[in-house]
Amino acid sequence: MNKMKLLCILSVFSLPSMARDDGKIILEKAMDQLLTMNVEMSMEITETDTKGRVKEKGYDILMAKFGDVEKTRMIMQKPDRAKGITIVLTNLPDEVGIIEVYTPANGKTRKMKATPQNMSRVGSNFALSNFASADYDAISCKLLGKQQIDSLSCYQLEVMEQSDSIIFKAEFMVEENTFHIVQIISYDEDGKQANITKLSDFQPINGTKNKIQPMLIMAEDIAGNKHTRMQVLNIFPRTDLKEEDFSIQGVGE
Amino acid sequence: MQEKIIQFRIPIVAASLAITLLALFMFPRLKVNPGLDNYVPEHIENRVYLRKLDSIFGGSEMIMVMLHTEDVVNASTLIRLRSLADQLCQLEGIDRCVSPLDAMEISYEDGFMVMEPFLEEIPQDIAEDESIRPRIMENPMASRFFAEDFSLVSMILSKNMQTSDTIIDVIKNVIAEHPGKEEVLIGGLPFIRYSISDNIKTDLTLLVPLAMLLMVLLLYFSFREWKGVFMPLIIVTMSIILSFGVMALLGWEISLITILLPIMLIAIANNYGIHMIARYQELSRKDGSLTMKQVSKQIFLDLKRPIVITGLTTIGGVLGLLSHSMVPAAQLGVLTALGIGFALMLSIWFLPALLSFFPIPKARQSPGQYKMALADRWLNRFSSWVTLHPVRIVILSATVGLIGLIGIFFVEVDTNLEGYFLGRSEVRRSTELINDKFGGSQFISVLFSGDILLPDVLKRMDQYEKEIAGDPAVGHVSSPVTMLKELSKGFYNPGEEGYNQIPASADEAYQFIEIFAMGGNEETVEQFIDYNYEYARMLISLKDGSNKTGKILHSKLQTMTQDDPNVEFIAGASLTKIELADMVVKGQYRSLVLAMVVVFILLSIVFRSPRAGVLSSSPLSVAILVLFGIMGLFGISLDIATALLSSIMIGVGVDYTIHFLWRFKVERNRGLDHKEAARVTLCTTGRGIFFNAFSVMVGFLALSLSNFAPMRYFSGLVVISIFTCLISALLLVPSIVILTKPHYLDRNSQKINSHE
Repeated sequence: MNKMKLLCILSVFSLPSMARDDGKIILEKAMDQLLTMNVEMSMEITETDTKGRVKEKGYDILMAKFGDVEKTRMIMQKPDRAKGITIVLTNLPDEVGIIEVYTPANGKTRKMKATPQNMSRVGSNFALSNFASADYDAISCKLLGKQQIDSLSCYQLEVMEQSDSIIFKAEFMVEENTFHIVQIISYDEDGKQANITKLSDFQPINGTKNKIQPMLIMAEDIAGNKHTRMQVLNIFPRTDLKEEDFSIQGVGE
Repeated sequence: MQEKIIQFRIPIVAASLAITLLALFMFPRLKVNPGLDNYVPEHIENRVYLRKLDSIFGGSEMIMVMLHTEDVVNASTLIRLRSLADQLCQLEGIDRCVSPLDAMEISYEDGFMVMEPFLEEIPQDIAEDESIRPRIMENPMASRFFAEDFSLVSMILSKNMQTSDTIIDVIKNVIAEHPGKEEVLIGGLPFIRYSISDNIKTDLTLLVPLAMLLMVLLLYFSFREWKGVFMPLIIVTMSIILSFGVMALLGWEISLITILLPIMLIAIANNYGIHMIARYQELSRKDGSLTMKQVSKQIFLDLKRPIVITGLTTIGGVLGLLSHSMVPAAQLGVLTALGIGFALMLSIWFLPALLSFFPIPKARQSPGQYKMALADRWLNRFSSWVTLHPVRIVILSATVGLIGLIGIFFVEVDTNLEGYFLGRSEVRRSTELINDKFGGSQFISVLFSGDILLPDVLKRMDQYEKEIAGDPAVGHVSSPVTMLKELSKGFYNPGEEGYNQIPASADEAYQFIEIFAMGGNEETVEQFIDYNYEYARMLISLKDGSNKTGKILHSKLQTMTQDDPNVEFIAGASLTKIELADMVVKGQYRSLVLAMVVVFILLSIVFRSPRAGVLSSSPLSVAILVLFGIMGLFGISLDIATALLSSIMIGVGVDYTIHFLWRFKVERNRGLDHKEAARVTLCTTGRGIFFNAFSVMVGFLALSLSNFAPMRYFSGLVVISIFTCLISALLLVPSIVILTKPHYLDRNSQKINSHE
């Protein structure tokens, strides 16, 4: 009887740490399936505002990692007047990254510091990007339980990352059987829901081993009552990417 | 008929009470609408334009929240502003929220473009930072939120037309949750409307009982008998209830000028009851053997005709308001006419029926003896003047009329809501501060459509902006050009071609905005350029909200932009009142003419001569000239309330002439010559006229305590105009009658029942 009591007490005290570990394992497993580096993709984004007005944008995106340095390049394809606007994000380890912006209309390139404030300002519709290449040791992840999302049984994870003064907090729904991340709810500083992102149409990526991509991402900005539909048109692994591919000069020329 | 009143007295009383009760049950459906939009028909151009602006740019109604202290550039004030902004921007119904905290400071430093919110960091020692104030003033996106002397900092919340003005209550609650040493003031049209709504309720709850109390005192001191107080008062109360009940039934809303409805009914609708009570007292004193039933029948018989005639002329006068395009003015005309009509019926049927239930009072001294004696002295003087100097009186009246005519040329029209408030009220103070320190809270928008990012279009906007900004009536001008020039500072170095300049191509402009919007600045962009970059607007604030300023500026903008193919329209809430002012003037002319025509026709029929119609119009004409002359000479503007004066004055003022002519004819038929008939009429019916006019003036005096300036002016002017009608009826009309000796007042063919 005493042994039983001891077992129960031990279980109660060890559960939270077990849950945290389980959460991190589930998140890592889910993230491992995604191809977030050395990749090229085209994406069409349809933004709908509060009044139902629609704006369409198109991007060609490159993502790669060179040692500890992560680079992302986005070239706008749509609308016509924005065609050629290029944004290159460079994430540097242990220092503030750089955002480079090229505007083809005047041939100017401008650099901005990728401070957490600047990064948070550059649209936070897609919460996955905050965690996609994160250092998992810096992330706290807690398994909250299970929940049904669109009749799928999902793990409910609370994920937090602190970067300088900005705290990213989100709730991930990971499908129990496939470990697909099907929904992310991100929260603002006051703990209110800020965005809901739904991921679907998971497809394997040709030329990779066990890597998948959600081809349709629907994001809802709750405060702004805006909706964003992101359709991945194509995605390829690019192990051949070089740093020059992320040079603005290369684009401008 | 008089037999039936007594025979069916219970059903008459029961039916009257039932109708009143039914009307009372409608009261919960009553709504207050303090906006000016309510006054302007839906199809009016500016309203259509405003709706379009709302649909393109979101809420175009701006609420300004201001923090006021000696120097706002200090940590605690700015942190308080941030806390307020954080909470207020989240409120449901607020479409957009901008503050100096969002204003971007764009620069190019050490090879990096710096695009940061101006006051993202608020250090504790910000007050000591000598560079901060010049930086604020140099940044057009930040400086517009600060007063030049830094005594005020503001934020602007935009609401759409669907969001109720009661959002001000929520804003006030949020402000209360963030206390601080600064005074917090709210401004803008929605706040003005909110305050109007609040004051309408206060006025209705204060002025109606006050007018009633004045009337009770007047009636008591006149009749010295409670029956004489409560009977006319019951009739007034019932007619007010019926009018508001019909208002609720028809779904009409209580507006600012609705305050006039109960006051008008208190002042006018008791007159018929007063005549009935006066006659009842006269009869009961004269013949102690009469029973109350007999007295009731007799007063109906004696007074039904003059009361119906004066009632109909008053109804005709107030129905003149129907010709106003101002919707609430026309509604007021209908409701007052209904109220007066109901009071008329109650006075001739319900009052005798109710009176018949009471016992006849014991004979006693004449009521209101002292007052009557005073009135008598004046009326005797009048009769002497009239009989001795009729020509002088006519000349004097014509001279007064001519002076009034000169004053008419100086009458101005103003429908500015800002002018409604008096003294040091919060709304008046905040409006003055906004106008003085922030360049005004009333805006005019110029809407551009088409390829609005083309350099040619932007250059034209820039040109307009520079031209209009030089106008002393203009506070601030902002347009996409201001924003684009500011954005160029992030892409070009100082001194470089392109720095602080309009982008060289539409693509460049588009790309500047796209990059800026990507940085989370969509709200700043959407103030000037719509979501899909198809429309742009220039926002011009007016330092003073007067119609004159608005009209001049509107016309200047129209001339400036008339050949611009990209300018779709010029609109603004401040322009609605200009259209309203035009409607006020047109409505004034139309209602004046209509009321005069109705009165002329009615009196021509009653006295069977068109000359009687002309004669009855003469005191009204003098009163109209005096009224508008005073307004012009003393700088009192014609506004939504004072525009109603003439119809009301005609409706009420003509009664005195009717009473005079009626009795004059009776006296002529008795064989008196013109002078003697005039003298007797003045000394008998003159007292009734005097008392009647006095009661109307006392009723309207309650409005002098209104929270609204137009209502106070209305009160003073109505007293002046009724007084002029009274004096004209007692001096001018007898003089004309003595001089012209009209035949239609001599005939014996018409049977007239004396009511004196």
